Amino acid sequence: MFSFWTELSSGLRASVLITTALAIVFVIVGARVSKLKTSDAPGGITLIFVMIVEFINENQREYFSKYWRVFTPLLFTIFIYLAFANTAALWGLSAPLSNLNVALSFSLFAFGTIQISALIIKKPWGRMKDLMDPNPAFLPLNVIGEISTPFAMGLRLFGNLVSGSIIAVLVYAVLGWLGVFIGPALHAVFDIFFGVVQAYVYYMLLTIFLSMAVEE
Amino acid sequence: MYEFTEFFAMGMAFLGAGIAVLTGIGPGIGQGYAAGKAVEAIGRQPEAAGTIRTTMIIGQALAETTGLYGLLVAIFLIFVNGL
Repeated sequence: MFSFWTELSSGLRASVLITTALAIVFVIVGARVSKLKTSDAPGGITLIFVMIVEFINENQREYFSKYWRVFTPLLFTIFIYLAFANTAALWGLSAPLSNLNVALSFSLFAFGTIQISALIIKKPWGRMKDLMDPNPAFLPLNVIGEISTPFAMGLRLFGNLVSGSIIAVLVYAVLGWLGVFIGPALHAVFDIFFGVVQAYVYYMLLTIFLSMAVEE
Repeated sequence: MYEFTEFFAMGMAFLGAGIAVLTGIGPGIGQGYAAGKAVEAIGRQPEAAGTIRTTMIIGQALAETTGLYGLLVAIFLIFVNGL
């Protein structure tokens, strides 16, 4: 019965756990926010979430002049998932992004999001004109650029997470039980700081490329 | 003279991995340069320190990518080919 679960690799299991936990939390907080009246002042955890959403909205309005309402929920979801997935080592899970499958599916996701929304918003002919930007001879170069940037975004996440875990393994192998003393600093840098910075970088890059593809 | 054996191939893969991580030099220079420029900018305009720091960290995280490619090549050489 549990063979499906135990046969998954550790990164994928962590990914499923994080997604489930986030879904539960967001449903609860969403119910509490939707019950708020406009005259009420939110408090506690609701206030924190309202402030985060407000901050992300402000951030998105700098990049999207017209379509920020369409893309902000998507980008915010990705940012939250990545921020928790990259710090998963703090809860004893292995980071999902240190699995090459998860990392490459993130580049596939970025590629699909950019291409499909550009096709829907600009219509195929407008998109084609964008790809042949200075003149039609640049078409192959632009197509390669469209493919390689999402690929690099996924590989960047993978490389960062894997290098962090490899360095942690090496340091623990060399130091043995002395690793207890240096461990906290190591995890603070490689799990919390680099993980959150990489989540922010992925979010920022997806925002910038989406706005370049979608806006005039 | 030298015979081509499994052992020889493994050693060469490890040597290649060692050479591949030399790509770390490039991002090291680039990130150091970015940090130096950011310190200059903060010294000239201390009230913009927050923005400058955020921009610097994003730029450095982007510059890191080339080094990470070298690291990935090294990992693949060791774990796919070598062992």
